[in-house]
Amino acid sequence: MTLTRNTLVGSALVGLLALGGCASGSGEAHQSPEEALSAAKTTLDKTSGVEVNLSTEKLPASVNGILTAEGVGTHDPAFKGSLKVATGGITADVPVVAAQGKVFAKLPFTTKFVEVDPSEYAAPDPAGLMEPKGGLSSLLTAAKDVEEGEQVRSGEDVLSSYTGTVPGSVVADIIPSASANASFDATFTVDDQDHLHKAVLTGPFYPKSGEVTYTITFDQYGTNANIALP
Amino acid sequence: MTTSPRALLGLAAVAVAFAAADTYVVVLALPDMMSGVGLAVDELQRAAPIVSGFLLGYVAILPLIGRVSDIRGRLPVLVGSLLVFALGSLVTAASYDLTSMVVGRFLQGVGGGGLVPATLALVADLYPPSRRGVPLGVVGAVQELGSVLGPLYGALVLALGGWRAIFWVNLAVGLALAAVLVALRRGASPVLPVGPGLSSPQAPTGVVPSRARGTDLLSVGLATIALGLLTLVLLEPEPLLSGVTTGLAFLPVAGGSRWLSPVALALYTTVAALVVRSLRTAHPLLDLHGWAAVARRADLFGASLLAVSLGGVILAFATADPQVQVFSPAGPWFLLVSAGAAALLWWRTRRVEEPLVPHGAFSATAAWGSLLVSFFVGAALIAALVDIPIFARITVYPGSQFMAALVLVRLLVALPAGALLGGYLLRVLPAGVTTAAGMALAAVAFVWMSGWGLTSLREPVSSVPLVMAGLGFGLALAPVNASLLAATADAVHGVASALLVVARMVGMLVGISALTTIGLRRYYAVQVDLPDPSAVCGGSTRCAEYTTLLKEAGLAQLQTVFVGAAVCAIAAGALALLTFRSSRVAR
Repeated sequence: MTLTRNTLVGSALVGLLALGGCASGSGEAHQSPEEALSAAKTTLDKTSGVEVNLSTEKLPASVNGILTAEGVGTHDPAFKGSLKVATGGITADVPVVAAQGKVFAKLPFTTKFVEVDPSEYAAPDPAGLMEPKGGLSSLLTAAKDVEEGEQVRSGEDVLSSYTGTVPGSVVADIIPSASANASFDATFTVDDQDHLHKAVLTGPFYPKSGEVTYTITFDQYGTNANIALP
Repeated sequence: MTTSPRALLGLAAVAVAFAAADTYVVVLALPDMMSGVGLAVDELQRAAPIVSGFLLGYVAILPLIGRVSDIRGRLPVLVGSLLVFALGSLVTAASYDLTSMVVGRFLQGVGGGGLVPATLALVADLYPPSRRGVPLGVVGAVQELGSVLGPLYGALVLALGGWRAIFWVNLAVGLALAAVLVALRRGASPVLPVGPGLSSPQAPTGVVPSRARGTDLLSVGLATIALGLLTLVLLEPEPLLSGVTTGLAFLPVAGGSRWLSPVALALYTTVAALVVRSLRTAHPLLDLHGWAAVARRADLFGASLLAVSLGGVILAFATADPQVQVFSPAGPWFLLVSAGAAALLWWRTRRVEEPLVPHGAFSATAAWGSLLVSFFVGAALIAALVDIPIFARITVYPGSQFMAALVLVRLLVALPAGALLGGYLLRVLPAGVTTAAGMALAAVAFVWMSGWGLTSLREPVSSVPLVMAGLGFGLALAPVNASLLAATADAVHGVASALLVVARMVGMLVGISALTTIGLRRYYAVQVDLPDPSAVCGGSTRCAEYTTLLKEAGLAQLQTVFVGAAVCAIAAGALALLTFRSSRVAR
């Protein structure tokens, strides 16, 4: 019974895959993993803007933290988007605009933006995520013991993946509560145009609550967004 | 020889209780389910369909399935309902966004709703009219029991796993119950059609299924593959998705929808193959010819009208942005479609020869009055069931659904006690007075709760309004039932009782949608915006005082819902006083 099922699923898939055609493999000149990640950092630092989505599937119970952060970042640096925070067993949406060194947020159950100091909310300055120094791109070059992994698929693209570890001190720039002394497992997936697609970080992001995995995806490189303070 | 039908009825009752529990199983998991599909706490109105979607399926299928089980036989309907329930559980467990979750809940409701009329009909088959009282009472009681056990069962599963675990367990239990029923059918099919009180002349042909002998293995294989593919489409397992080759199977061939990926196309192909096979083979797994014949004779159109009418109400409120207004721009149109469908349904019911509700059955004031009372009781009850656990989660038990569940338990344990008391009081007091007293108790309790603050639940005295509300709702159960039965003819008692449950569920459905949205809207309309954090905190932008301000603001929404529930309870009590006056129940 199981055999029939597997064979049938298999043949159905193979048939459909054949119809869909095969994607072309990448045949680029080979870079070392470090070179590839460094090139990806350069691309990320140079692009005008990019859609960023940081998310975790699950926070440990009783942790107050960030579930998702999504929005558009530019190298002004500025950021406009929305945070979803877990606080006291419930989830709240917090729209955020950050530019010119200021951060404005619309707190839950309120209807207008107010200026906040993100450090007081255990959150990073979202605009700072786009800084070449101390931002998301720094994760790429901070990675140690980088090894090239298997190729993976992300939608239409086939990407190279790299694994390594990132020091907690660098991770803490992004999630301030991350343990600075720990090292975080990291997986980066990069396409053959040196675009970083995804970074997956696992480690002690929140004190005394085990390991948490955050996935950060990057999309729409070169987007132009005019982000003004509210 | 009669053990099997009795066992069958027992099993059907277990299934009914289980499905009834599922109406309320989500009330504790709601905050988790909301974050599971990316909803924030101030979007409660959008989450309401997670509760009301189930009710919609449950209510919409009731009128249809009674007729179907007359034509088709009880067992196929019971098994079919359980399978639909299992499918709904699968879709809910694997849901990836709000829409898929609500679709799953709707299917669960359709399956759960189908069980009730088929089980009631089973009672009619097995017992002569004079002896039906007790078994009918048992079926009614397990339904109420389910509503008490539902939140507890949800809390138990949540304590061990996440909210998705609830629905995986549902899937397993649904399939297991269906399998046992099928096994019973094999053993018992010769006995069933000669049940002593067989009420429906059409039943015998349907009760012994023609396909009891052998099951088509190819169909079983195709169905299994289809379910496997459906699970893949819903879950999109990461290891397969990111595989260079396997990921291609999840890449949409056109557009960006996961429902156009090769896996989804394979799903459609498999389902089509299953349909073709079912149409061609002698002993199909799905007897499509038979069901198509049933569909022609059952009032599919009427059931669809009912579904559209209630679905419109859900959508009208669920799409609102309470920061702006109670209805989205499309909201009034949804309500218009709703009203149109209801009008058409009414017109149709008047015209058909054998309407669901016999002409004149509800002409007595107390008869239609009890339906109205039931509606408002449902609206008030659902507000308590949904909002009390959320209130507990926001204020004193942020990390523990289980402790939040125990808050609701104080209300739930008082409910059966109130029901007993209500039955007793009926001997000495008129039904209207007993109902009004119960609802007055509930209204006072809700007004009390609307004054609750951040720490109120820590105080032992908070149990008082909870127990009061439970007692109040319990008190109203028996007199409402009794005045309905007293005001309707014996011949329509079955359908009348069913309609009472429907009225309460429709009340719940409208109540959860409307009260949540109106509560939020009222909050935003009255609420003068909070001051800037820096003004409260003296320079810094975060401090305990400001966090408290935000939390209290969040509570205002729930407090408003409690006021709304009090209004509904008062309406129910007043209507009972007015309409039950003519009832000849008392004494």
